[in-house]
Amino acid sequence: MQFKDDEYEALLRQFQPRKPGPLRETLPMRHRRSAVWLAAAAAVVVLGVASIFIVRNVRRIDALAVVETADGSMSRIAGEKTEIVHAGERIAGGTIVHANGGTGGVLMLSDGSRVEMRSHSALSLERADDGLRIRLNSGGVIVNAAKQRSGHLYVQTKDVTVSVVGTVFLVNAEEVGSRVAVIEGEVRVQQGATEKKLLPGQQIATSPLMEPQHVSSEIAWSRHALAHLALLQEATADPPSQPQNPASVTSVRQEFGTVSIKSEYGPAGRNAPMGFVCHGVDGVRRAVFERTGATASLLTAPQGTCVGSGLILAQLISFAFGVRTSNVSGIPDWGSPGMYAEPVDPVPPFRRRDFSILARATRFEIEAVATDPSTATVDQLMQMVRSMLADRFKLKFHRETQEMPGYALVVGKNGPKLKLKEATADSESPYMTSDKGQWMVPGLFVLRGKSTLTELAQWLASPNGVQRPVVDRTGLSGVYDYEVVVRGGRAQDDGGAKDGAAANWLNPSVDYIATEERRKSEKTFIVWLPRTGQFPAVTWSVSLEETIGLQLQEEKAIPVEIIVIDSIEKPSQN
Amino acid sequence: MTLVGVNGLKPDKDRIRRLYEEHGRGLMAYACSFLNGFTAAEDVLHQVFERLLRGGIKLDDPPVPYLYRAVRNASLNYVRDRSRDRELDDGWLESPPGMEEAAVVLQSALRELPEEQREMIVLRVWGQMSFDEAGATLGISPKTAASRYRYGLLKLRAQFNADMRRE
Repeated sequence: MQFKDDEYEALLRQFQPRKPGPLRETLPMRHRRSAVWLAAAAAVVVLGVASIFIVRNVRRIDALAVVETADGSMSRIAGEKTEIVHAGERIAGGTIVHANGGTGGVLMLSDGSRVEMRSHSALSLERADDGLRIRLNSGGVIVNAAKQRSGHLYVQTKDVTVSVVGTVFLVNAEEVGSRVAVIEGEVRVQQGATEKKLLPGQQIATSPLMEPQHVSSEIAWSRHALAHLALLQEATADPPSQPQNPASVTSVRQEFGTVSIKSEYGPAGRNAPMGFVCHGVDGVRRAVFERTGATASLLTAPQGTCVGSGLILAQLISFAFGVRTSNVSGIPDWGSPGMYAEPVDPVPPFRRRDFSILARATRFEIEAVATDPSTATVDQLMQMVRSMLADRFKLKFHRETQEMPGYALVVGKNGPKLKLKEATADSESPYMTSDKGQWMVPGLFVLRGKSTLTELAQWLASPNGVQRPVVDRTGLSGVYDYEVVVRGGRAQDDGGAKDGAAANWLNPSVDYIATEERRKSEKTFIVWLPRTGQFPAVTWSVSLEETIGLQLQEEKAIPVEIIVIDSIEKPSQN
Repeated sequence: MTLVGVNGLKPDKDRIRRLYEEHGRGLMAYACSFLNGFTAAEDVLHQVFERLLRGGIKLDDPPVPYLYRAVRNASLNYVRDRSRDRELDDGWLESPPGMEEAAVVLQSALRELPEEQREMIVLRVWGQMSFDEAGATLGISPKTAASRYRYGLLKLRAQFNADMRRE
């Protein structure tokens, strides 16, 4: 039956886009804060009520810190702009400072405190009512807090606030929660309404799934690690190599008020929603679905709750820890996608086949409600999911660094062909485009970015790149402006293809034409077109060398952090 | 040209809310033609409207093409900024009763289209725009818009039918 265009349009309109949720009308805090800071700063200057020390610093740096040490990999984001920061530069309130790689850096705050940033950390500074506040977005810092005359220095992560009047301590903001440890002096840690005091050698973790670490190992990354260790030994009179008393490690748990878990076996119904969704009062939903479409839309969660349907354990753990299932080891058979075998041949773009996994896995129906659904944010709900895994599934795990085969990003034979980014230009994370408008169509693919090469290496490791660990060994710091043109056929000319599948990957145009011809005579044949995630490393390496003078070198052992499940049980029924 | 909250003037919040109610679904569909699912598209849509509610933005008259352009830019920024994030692939189409499977297939078939054809189909079908309006939104001539639409529709039908046969 043939439809005219307008009839076909009418058919399509039977499928309506889902209605978006109510419009959030709360102004982002950052903008309000800017106004408050400006007003506060103006008031300080105009009224002259601050101490000479503060006035001197405000005048001198118009802001809250000066970069004391930077290795070229530190940058700042103010508004829309990202620029490299160098030693001696001033950091204004609200500016996000990134330590992108290398050895991190040190900031000297206007109150005399020093903040040492670990590599891959991000923070911003702002004035608090009675002092300064460091907002640690990610990564870790060691703070050597100056003696405060009348106020406090605060370090705030997404789930805790640390307040001090003069001490040395560290704070890590990790995916699963935050960790605070004291080297000298004392700190107060506030999480929600709970406040705890920590002394030297003690630490606190906001998630029960963050295993205790020696404080000594937590500070090993610091360029002043030896000095911190000496302080710690002096303060605790306890050699840091000794195992720490578990009682000194405190965890503030986030738990659901009620949890209902039902399990069933075998494949899910054809139209059953399969996935998990958490909905916080902050309006944020995080979800994972096994298949897309209208079935997924059937799975909704009221605010302050998490709901799962047709869910398997592998999915739940991957969701809870924000990692790929390939970086979780020890998932038992009943929680694994049982019938699923990794396809040997390239996977067709149509994803129906991907849905056929999971036939033998145990599936769970989960309904979990926060103790107070009216206050639980999505981050807190994620912590509650991890607590649920510990309580109901008896999950015990540890993190391990495993060596996996991967690639090193290195400078090619003829040297780098890279342009250092202008300090004033905006930085851009690497992103992929295609001359044909989308990824599924054969053609030229271009990877663009204005970033550090560490970020480029991270992108190359992603599912869109080589899907293996990639480590930056170029030795080049700084932010570069680059454009990598990926040519599908080139590597094959160089003899890079070793088998049939790789040959197809390397020459998408030929494959496409052949496929189209076959398609005419064979209705059931599924068209396969290469996607960016399917270019082999050799193609990437040749393309990188041709365009920016870098290449990928195979390495047998690259350290990668994975989650190792020590033990886990099927959950108790309700 | 109408001003909505420029430099100290309060934005016309009622008008912005009305636009959201009237065009939310179409804009959602448009965002979904660049993004991978409902959740991401909703985030983008909220970003755009929150910016309008804060004021200081000139809203063209008629405002709809502007809204679509803003959603397009915000979606492309979103893709660029989060290219390393894990994909969250949740559905954005609601189906008539009994046609859930077809909705899944339709979304998949849409994703197979070149971006320029996909966005044109979304503007026309779910944004309910004429070719003149769609052309103005995309900065192309109405003729080009019509041709992209026809080619896109042809491909979509072929892809959709082939996929349904495989079901």
